[in-house]
Amino acid sequence: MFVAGIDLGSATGKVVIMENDRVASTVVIRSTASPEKTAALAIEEAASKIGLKAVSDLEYIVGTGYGRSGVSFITENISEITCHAKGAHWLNPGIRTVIDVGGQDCKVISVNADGKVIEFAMNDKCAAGTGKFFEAMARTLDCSLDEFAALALRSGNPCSITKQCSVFAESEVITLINNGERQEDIAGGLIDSIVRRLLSMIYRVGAVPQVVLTGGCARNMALVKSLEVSLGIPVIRTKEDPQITGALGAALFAQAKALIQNK
Amino acid sequence: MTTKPIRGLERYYEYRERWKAIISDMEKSPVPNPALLALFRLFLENDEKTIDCAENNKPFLSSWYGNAPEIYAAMGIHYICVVDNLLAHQSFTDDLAGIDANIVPDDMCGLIKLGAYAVEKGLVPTPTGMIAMLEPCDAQSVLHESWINNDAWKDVPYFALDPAYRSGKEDFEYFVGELRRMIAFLENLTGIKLDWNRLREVIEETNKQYEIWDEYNQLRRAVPCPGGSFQGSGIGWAISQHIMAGHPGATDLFRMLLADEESRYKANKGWLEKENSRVLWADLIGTVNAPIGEWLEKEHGTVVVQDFQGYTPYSHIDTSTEESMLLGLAKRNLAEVPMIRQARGNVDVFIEDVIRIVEDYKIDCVFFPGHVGHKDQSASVGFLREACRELGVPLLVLTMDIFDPRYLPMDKFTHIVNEFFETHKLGKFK
Ligand code: SF4
Repeated sequence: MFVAGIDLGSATGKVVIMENDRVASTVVIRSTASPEKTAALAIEEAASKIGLKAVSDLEYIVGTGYGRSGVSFITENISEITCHAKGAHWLNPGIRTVIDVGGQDCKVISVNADGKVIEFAMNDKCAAGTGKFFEAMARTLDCSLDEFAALALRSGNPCSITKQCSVFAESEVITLINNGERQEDIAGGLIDSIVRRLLSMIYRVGAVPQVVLTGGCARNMALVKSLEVSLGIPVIRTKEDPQITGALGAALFAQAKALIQNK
Repeated sequence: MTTKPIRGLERYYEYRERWKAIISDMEKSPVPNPALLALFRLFLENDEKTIDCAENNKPFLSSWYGNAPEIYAAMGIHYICVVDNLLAHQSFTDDLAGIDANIVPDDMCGLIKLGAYAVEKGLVPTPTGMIAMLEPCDAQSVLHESWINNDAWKDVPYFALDPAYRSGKEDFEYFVGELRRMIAFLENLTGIKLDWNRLREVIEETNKQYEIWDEYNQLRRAVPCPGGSFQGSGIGWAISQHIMAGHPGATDLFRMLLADEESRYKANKGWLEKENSRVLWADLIGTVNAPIGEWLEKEHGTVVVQDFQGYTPYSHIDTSTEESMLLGLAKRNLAEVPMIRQARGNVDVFIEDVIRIVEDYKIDCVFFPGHVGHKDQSASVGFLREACRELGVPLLVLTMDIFDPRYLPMDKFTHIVNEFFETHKLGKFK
């Protein structure tokens, strides 16, 4: 029995297909202008990886993420908070705090021993502390996202960057470049400024170990390291791509729903 | 010969005309809402008094909530709170855009920004005197500082009440001293002597008002709640603290609110046909709240049953002696008025209020708006979280400016609340 979870974020669409409690296929694609189209493309790609032909080969599909509502072939929608908690808990049942830094928003979720949400906080303001911010800053530093993370990791003396709004931070970065600051230290400073922003959200729900970082930005090792230093506790690395945690949670719900349905 | 217009009155003439037009439209309506009509008539009367004072050189004050307005009322001295009309008429003006260009730092409360902007732009008439309060937020000092640096206001005599930090007997006694100094200042400024019998009458009228308000609140404990979200909070506070204290018209309006709620309660009817969830809004209510309340009711069958502005544990003031009246006023204005009650001193009152409201009003979840001005409370969010976890009610922490709807746009707000409700199986997900 195959089931799927789809996480339709603003920047990327993620699909996890599961078969009998095992991750059978995953895919991450860039979002299109239409969530329906993103979902269709992502599911098609994930299905074809394991030789499935169509959506009809999937018993149950759970949707989550910003664009989830209104996708015609999704069986049921479940909140992204609940799915992230579920996915993270499945990856590591010891996890109590999930920090998800996505393309356009970030959230911190406090989870109990059963993987249920106790509380959460969401970035409700702007791009600060999200993938969009990193993209804008990498552009300003004229490098790719991977190079940006690598630069930050090499920083010995991160610059102090006070602005967290991407518009203002950009002009601050330009000033630093003009002042001859090293690219590494500017990148390091940017990472630290975002961690400060994340911390205010993390402390709203409490940083109870074990802590995991999920979402596309979790691949940024400079961010992981800076977060570890600021929190004073290690940040768990997951065995699956941290970006698919929400879709994984959705797939786990799909699996449970399908079992009930088939009883 | 043309006479120079009096600074600030142009705006007040606009307010007056708008109230008149609204009232006349309502009077013509086949089903006029008597409570709203009474409220707008009180607002109009208040604005007419301001205009009269400014046009005819009669003394009037600029004041803020929690400054014992019962005393000015007893002296017959009219007063305004600079931001009241700006808030009431916000949807008709571009004041919100105006505050961005003003001098007040970004991270301050919209109310403070509006207050500074109003004086800077000459949107309020220059008062005869100012009564300032150094509570409940640090921004109050910034606001008054900006006023005394304004050309039109720089010579306005002022008195700043110094609040005590705690809420013990000695603190109230200290504040009685402050009130006595304020009375001396007012007598000196206006030449009007405080008539203690008149003060007794004013206080007794406010005692009546707060009793009715308390009854109104008791009814809101019922499940389903017989009244709508934020209903009594907005009106109740406006007519008890922000227009002439002890106005018998305000007492009548409280009676109307109570009767309306009572009729539904007796018929065992809720405000909503089907009440899914009950929310505590753990803060003041601002200009963002009306659309929020409507959306929660419509989309989620959820009523905001109580908030800090509507929660009014005002005690009865003993009017037997001058001293007992001042002591009662000190306690009321220092430890009972919303915000000053929760934001002053240590965190205990804030947490105890949350616990009591959650238990008494059978609250399903707590919304903490994280108002930008209330940094003290935001710093206490860990205590709030612990209390909510012990009570077993989910807590939603937001970051808003309750007086500036642009700070957390409605679509973001609804997205977060939808996630919250879905996660905790509340509202329409129940
Ligand atoms: S609402 Fe709060 S922050 Fe704003 S002026 Fe009042 S006490 Fe200060």
